[in-house]
Amino acid sequence: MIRSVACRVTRSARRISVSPIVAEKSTHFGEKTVKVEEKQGLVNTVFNNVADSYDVMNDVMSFGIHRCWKDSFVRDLAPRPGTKMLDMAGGTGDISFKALQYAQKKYGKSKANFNITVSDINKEMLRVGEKRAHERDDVDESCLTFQVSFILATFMSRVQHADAHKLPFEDESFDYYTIAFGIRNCTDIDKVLDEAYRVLKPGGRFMCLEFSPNVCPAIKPFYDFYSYQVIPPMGQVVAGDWDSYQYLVESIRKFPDQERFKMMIEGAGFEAVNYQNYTFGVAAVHDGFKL
Amino acid sequence: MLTRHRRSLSLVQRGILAVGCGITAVRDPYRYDCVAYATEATTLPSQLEQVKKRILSTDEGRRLLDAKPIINTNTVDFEHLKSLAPSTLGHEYQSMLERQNISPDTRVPVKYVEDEEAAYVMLRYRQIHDFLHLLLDAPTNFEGESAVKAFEFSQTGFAVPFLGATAAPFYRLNSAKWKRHQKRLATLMKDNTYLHYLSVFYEERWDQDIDQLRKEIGIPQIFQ
Repeated sequence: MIRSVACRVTRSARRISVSPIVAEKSTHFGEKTVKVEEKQGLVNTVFNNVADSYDVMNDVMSFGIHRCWKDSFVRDLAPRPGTKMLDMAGGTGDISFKALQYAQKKYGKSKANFNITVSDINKEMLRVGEKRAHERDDVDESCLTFQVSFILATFMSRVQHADAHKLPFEDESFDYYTIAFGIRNCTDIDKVLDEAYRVLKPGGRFMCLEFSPNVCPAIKPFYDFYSYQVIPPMGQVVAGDWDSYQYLVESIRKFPDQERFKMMIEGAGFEAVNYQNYTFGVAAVHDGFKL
Repeated sequence: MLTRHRRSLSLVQRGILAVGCGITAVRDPYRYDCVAYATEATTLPSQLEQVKKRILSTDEGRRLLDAKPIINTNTVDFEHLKSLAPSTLGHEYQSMLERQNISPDTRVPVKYVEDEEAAYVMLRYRQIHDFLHLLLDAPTNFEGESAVKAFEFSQTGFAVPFLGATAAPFYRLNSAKWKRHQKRLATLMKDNTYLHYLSVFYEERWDQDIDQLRKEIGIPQIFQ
């Protein structure tokens, strides 16, 4: 009890120096400045529009490289049997599917006993995720047909509609908290980190995969050209929506850089925080432990 | 329908939109948004300016560009059109929409033409497409659409209707139909010095006899 109070005090002390966003009444929505209350609704509209074409556009935009990032992310996560994971902003289910496959492959279907809650603030994204899980149902069905008495790798046991700033989960209820390509859309990153800290068990691990604004200077001109000249028109062609992809591209540049984000994670109380760049800094994985 | 925030496109963006939307539209003709945005990407500002000049050369056209009317279920009184005498523009337009179960509300907004008047010209071009079906008496099948595109090309010079009138039928039609279509093209693409079809303030002419209107615009009689 004293320890948790002390933690909170240290956290707030660290907080003041690293995140001025909390003090402002307005925030960014890509290149636009909007009121804090408005941002969530606007982000929701973006993801409502892109939900159905999300997976196709990811492949088109990254030439399929996003799959490598997610594979690497899950290998690093290395989930163990008997654990519970919260895949926040999990939407269409990419990370969850890969984590499940990892656990099943490594420990066998019967012994994995790995439980994942896929959570997202956007119902449309979750709908797409549920549909994909259903289409891949053969994985689960074969598990289920094995024996009920064995310990099964259950999946999508709960698809929960949830806001990362205010999670409907109890304290200390997960071993892993992952958030991939979702945190930059959150209005108050510190609050999200706080909630992540709250719902993780002691010894639990926080992992975040996100685009970073700090791309290797040698490729930055090509990266910027591609981001502004190619991605939004492809958004119109593939998803019928230029504006949502313009937003996605702009929001990357507004996100804190790797070092600053690391400090924000430490500010929430996480320790042994590290980050690793992927693909010349186009994306980065941050992770930390609740000790 | 004229979105307030319209973007101007860089050359690269224009190219990607043109090629991407073009290919998508060919593979899936129901992607009306792709047809529309391919047109916006491939139409030069000078072409829109030329059409605008034709419109401004008549009194009626000047009134039209001043008013910038938009055709949708809110702005058009379909009950009134039903009550007009048959063979009037209004009555024929209303019964065509009913017969073919189409609505004037399905046109996508103009997004990639920055200048407001040019954007209106593009929007009007998009909206009057249905009127052309009516005036040409062209069915909504492939041949009918190609005929409408040919007339649009002869009056505007835009690239997309040109391709729709020539390349698409060339690939799609068998040789007998293609020969017949070629004859139609010759008539449809002739230089037209009558009233420009986009300068007509159709909303003021609901009670005009439709054949009289056809003569004024110089619509070739190919489907009758």
